[in-house]
Amino acid sequence: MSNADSEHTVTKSIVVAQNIDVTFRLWTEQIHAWWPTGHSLSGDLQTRVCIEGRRGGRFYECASDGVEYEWGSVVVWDPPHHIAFTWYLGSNQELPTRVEVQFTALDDTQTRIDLEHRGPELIGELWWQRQTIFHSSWDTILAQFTTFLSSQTDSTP
Amino acid sequence: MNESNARINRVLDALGNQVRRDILLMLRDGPMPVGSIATHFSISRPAISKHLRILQEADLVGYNADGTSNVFYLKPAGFRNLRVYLDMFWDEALTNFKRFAEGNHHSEP
Repeated sequence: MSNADSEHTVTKSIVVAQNIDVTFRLWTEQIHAWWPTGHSLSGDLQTRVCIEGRRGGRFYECASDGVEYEWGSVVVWDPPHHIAFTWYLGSNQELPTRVEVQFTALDDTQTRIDLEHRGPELIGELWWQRQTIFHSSWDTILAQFTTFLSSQTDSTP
Repeated sequence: MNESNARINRVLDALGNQVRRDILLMLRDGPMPVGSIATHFSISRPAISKHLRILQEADLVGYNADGTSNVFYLKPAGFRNLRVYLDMFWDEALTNFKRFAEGNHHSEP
């Protein structure tokens, strides 16, 4: 998994051994099967994450008690190449971020996924403050993160 | 993970309020005493103090006592926690997805 973090985004790329149509379908229709359960508004580990396959579709979770929580909405729906959605971070809807996911067929059996999570221009200018304040600490953190990643041999394709 | 989630939730909830975001933007220009911060808002001084406490608990601001006033400044820790959290979140999500998409449907993440 590569990391090419710019100042304003979290960027990830991954290659999966699956064709692009299946990959896109699994990403969207089966999102409940792979979305990390640790991140939900309900805190319910059995919660079901759903994304409605159309522009303007809902991105939400349905907890096991039947309560639904809005997470965001689909802003680009272009199967099997591109999906983008807003994602409200936190327990209210004042902190929208945007996730772009691009699917590229490398051949009939391999698909590259490029993901970009943008927050700052939507959150405001808060993510990155004065460069002088933040640069040194980010260098430290990114170095730690790289070390962490290299220790996670399973996650490196 | 739960402890880390609690910390991140404090950051997210702290950022999810316009007054608190405005306070953070003001502090970009340098540390400010609480009294000066309060003059920029139409809400009460106790309300400002409450917002500052929430920002402080999220590690987004810190303060130094200067005479009779507390001078607040930005701390990178909260933003750093958020960034690291999102980095790790997407690594986990993509690893899960790769495993799932490549057919190991039955293995637990």
